[in-house]
Amino acid sequence: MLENPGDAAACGGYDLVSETVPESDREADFARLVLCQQGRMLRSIWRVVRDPDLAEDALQNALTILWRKLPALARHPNPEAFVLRVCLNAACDQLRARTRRRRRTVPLDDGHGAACVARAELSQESAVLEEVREAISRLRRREATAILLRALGDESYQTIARSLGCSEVTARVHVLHAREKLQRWLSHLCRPSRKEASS
Amino acid sequence: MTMTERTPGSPPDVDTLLRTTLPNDLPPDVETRLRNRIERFLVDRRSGARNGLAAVPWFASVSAWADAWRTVRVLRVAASAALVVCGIALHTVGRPGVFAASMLRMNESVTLWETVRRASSMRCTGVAQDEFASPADLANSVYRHWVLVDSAFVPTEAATVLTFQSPGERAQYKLVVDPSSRLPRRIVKTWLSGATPRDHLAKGYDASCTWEMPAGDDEPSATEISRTGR
Repeated sequence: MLENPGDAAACGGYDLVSETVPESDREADFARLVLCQQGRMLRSIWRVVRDPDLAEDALQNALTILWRKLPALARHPNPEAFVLRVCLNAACDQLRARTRRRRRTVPLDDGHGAACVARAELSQESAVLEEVREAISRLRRREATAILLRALGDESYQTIARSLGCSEVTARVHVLHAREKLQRWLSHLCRPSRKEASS
Repeated sequence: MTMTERTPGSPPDVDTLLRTTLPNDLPPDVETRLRNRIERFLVDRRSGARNGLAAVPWFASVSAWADAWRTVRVLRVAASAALVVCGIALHTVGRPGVFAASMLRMNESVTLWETVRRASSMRCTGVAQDEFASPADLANSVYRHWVLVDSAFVPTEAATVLTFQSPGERAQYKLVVDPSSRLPRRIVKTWLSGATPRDHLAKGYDASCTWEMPAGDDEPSATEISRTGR
């Protein structure tokens, strides 16, 4: 679902495997990778934050992290999954920062009332979106990445495992835990997942 | 399925809730903005951009100054870390260092020299009497000719044994020092390898000594002597 067919068309493959290549070549490889993946990167970030400013900040952070981790990216068995994970992490970090900022701005003595007033001003869909985003920001980083890759990207557990750098079983556990937590926190909005019950 | 299509009676599962709440609907204007951001990032990373800035003289000088400052800071951090490591290492060794040990030995030497020099007379058995006619002779040897190489309390002797070496005559002297009077009650002389002793001293000696301190001195006037010939 995060895939954009247009991205893959111009991407004949990028070679990040060599750390001994000159700096200019590495920059070119990095640029090629980012340009090939930019569609997925932008959509994955947008779907989580859904705010232009937050999306821009998350993208900037993701690019900086990717550039800094270029050697690790070169060794990674699935660079695309690695990129996606970094983007989702950056997006979730922005959500967490936003949640923290909001908590700081709401007075403690009148916190409940202010939140209720603010919530009433939002439409029903916005209120649901707000709750979902807050719930995602409360998840652990790996759990958030795993559930978002699974639910939004329809990624296989193998891809999720490679992205997180763990075993497939661990990836399943992360997804399961994330689902359980979201189910608990958003119980008024959703029902227990049938998939999890069967698996 | 969107949030508005959902009926109250059939809430979606978690995955569906996430998909419907977070749809894949990146607006074109936001996409353009984000793509521009990527473009700017890649341009900034290109080494050409940095070289272009370096071409400006003032920027080059500021850049060089920053590099030098960073180097100095790294060196300072390294030096500080080395000092901290040395400090920890000295503490963890658990025994006095070489410098501290030599200071301790020097202190013991001086104490012995001072006590011996204060004695009014001494009398040693055997051949030691030939070598040390007076306390001043022994004090002079301790001060000028001998080097204290070891110092240890010996429980069997109930005294401290100071081991001196005399480099000039290739000999070793063991002085059994009484703990109360701080005067040597035995002097044991042995030869080191490479020495050329006179005939009557060929085997060295083990002499016992008695001391007399001047009247009015706080120190004990004499030590008890145990005579053991060699």
